[in-house]
Amino acid sequence: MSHFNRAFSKLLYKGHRHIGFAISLILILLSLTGIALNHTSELQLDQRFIKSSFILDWYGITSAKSPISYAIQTHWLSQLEDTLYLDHKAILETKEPLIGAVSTPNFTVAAFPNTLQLLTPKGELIESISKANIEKIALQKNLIFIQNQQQIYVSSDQLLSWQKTKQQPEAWSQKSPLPAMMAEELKQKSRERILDYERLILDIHSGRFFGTWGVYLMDVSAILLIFLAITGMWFWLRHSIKRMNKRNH
Amino acid sequence: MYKFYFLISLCFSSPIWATQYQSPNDFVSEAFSGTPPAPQSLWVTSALKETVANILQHKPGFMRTRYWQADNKTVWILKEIGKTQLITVGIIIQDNKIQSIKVLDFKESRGWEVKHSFFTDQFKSITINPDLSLSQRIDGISGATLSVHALTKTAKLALFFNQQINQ
Repeated sequence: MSHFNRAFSKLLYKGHRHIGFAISLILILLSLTGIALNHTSELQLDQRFIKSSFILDWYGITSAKSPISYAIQTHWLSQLEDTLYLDHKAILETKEPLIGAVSTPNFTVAAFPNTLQLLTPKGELIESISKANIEKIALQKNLIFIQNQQQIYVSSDQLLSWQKTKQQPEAWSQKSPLPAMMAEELKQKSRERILDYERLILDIHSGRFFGTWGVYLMDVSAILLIFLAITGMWFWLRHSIKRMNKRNH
Repeated sequence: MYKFYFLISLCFSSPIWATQYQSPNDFVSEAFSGTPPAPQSLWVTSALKETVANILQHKPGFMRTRYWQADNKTVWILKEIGKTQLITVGIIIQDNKIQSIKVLDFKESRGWEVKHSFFTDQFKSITINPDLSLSQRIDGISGATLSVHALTKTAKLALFFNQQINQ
């Protein structure tokens, strides 16, 4: 072997060792996040949310909106972002805006433009009922009234059937401001339902969590990994050839 | 330019953009030739909950389901998640056999092929076995596995509910 080849091999070997050590932590991070991402469904990573204020602040996630709330009996039914809350408890996810809510001792009805959600007093879903273009909802003497394109309908059998009526209920369900403390708690809860673990792990895996430089770092690490793989194979091949030559002689 | 307009129109005519194929009310009305009976309700009591969870392979997200019944015919409107969105399915059962099944509302971005009759016709005359399996095998559709599962589950559930109200 020439002097140049020996020096080059030594340099490669040194580079292989140093680079291997330098990116070992990143490789462990990539492997762990990669394994986690491969099992997103089993680990329910897309249904579990980050609650750490530090991470949420890092992402710039704030919840500035105020909830839409309706007072029902002694409780509050509120909507913040896509989540419906009974007092503090998240009970449903919906993209439709809450337009009213009424409650009897036996059930609660949350009204949305195209759906009525029939709930138990504890907030469990009894039935989701499709009904187009709902504008208002009211409760009067255990009768549920809804207004739909200037027509009023009434139901007396827990929303199973509807009859047209000309009777106007005394009062339609109206929004009420949620007590300040509860509103703050809901805002905090809502903020804690935005960033899921899958997103966070994906961002750590790609380096995006650390900003633009993080992505470059992962790119460089990937290139160095390729270098390690090639040099590793090269050393193994060279060693094998040497051993074969020795055996033949 | 015409090619561009053609491509745009193709995109908007794609089934991906369509959601409601028929309203549940129209489906029920059609099933009873325009004069549907009053709806009735079946409560998913704690005794039924476990079986319903077995059929759906998850906890039922509802406690009550409505149906329409006249003579030996029952009609069910059931909803089940395909991948992430709800698929609304209308099922007509005549003499304890499925007469027809129809996708009424489809919000998923993939798997809409299940709305076609080449798939839904497989359910015709199917019954439910005592072990809660269907009496005939349902062939899947490549790329629509989760929607196929959702429809199969709603078919089983409707047949099971039908059994319960006829007991």
